[in-house]
Amino acid sequence: MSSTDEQKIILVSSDGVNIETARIIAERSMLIKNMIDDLGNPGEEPIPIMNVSEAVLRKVLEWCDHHKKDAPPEKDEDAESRKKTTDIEEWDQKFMQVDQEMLFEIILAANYMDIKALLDVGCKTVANMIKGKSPEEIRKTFNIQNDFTPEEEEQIRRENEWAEDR
Amino acid sequence: MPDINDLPTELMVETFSHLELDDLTRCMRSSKTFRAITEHSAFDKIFFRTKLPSLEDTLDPNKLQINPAFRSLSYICRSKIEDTGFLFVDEKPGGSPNYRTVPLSATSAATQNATEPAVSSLTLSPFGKSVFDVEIEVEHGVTVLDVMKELCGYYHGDVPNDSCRYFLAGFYKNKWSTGEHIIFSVHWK
Repeated sequence: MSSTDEQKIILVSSDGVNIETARIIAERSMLIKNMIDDLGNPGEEPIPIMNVSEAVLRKVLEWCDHHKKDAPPEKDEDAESRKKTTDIEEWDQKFMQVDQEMLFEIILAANYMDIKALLDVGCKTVANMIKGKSPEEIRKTFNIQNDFTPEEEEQIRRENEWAEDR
Repeated sequence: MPDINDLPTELMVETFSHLELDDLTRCMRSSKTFRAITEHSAFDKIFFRTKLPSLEDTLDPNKLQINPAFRSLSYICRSKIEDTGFLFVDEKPGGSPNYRTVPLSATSAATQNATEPAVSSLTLSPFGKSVFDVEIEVEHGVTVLDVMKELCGYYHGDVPNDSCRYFLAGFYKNKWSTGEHIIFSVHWK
């Protein structure tokens, strides 16, 4: 590891808490990486992360720490086949065992902080929560209101029944 | 406190892109918001509703997908297009199974493309006693309904086909397909 990797930097959460972390960890976020590249002199100025609260930021940094040595993602050549799989590695599965609020906070933070791999894990986790469920179970899982009239719902069910359960 | 409704559309599209047709269909039925996401162009392929590719694009027959609706459409030769549909078996525990057919025209499959990518011309070679091929040409793209209509017409014509056959096994791509000409075989039991 070069000395830049061990460099410490300070992030400031949206609720004003300073969090010290290693540059190599924080740079899993392209937002932070670009800010450091633009600012120069990393470590001198705290970096504000406007949209992410302390609790979520710490959680995101925990993920970044575990994945700090991951190889950079390959180019999107295999995007199609990658899409359809919802396989998540074991550590990430455990990491994502949080309540739904935190899950969506992590997804929103990963999107804002531009951490593709974490965003991917988050979206796959939600997809796995949908898989195999009936519409009613999906609504229950995510606390969604059924805003169809019974007639509308019956029509959509009838039109699409052929595509289900196979 | 965020919930699933706080995810912006692009993240919902990203999430749904990990789902297959059956799960997407159930999402479509869950709420109007979820249905709107399944209508995003990112899912045109999986729902067989893409536009015809431009003439310059060459078609790779090996990558051509056949609409999964054909796998479960039931049809008896010499019957009318109205009699083409999906057969469902509702099994009640302890009771005898209840059979019902939903006509193709009442389903979302009718307006979907027969293939992905869409094609404007299809040649079908009915398996078995077929005498000649069925040619289907639709300028803006052949739909599932177009295919079944042509097949109905075919078996109402002068084809010496003395027995009614039950369409079961679906379509498969013929090995003689080329980039310019897609040939399907239709299997009859």
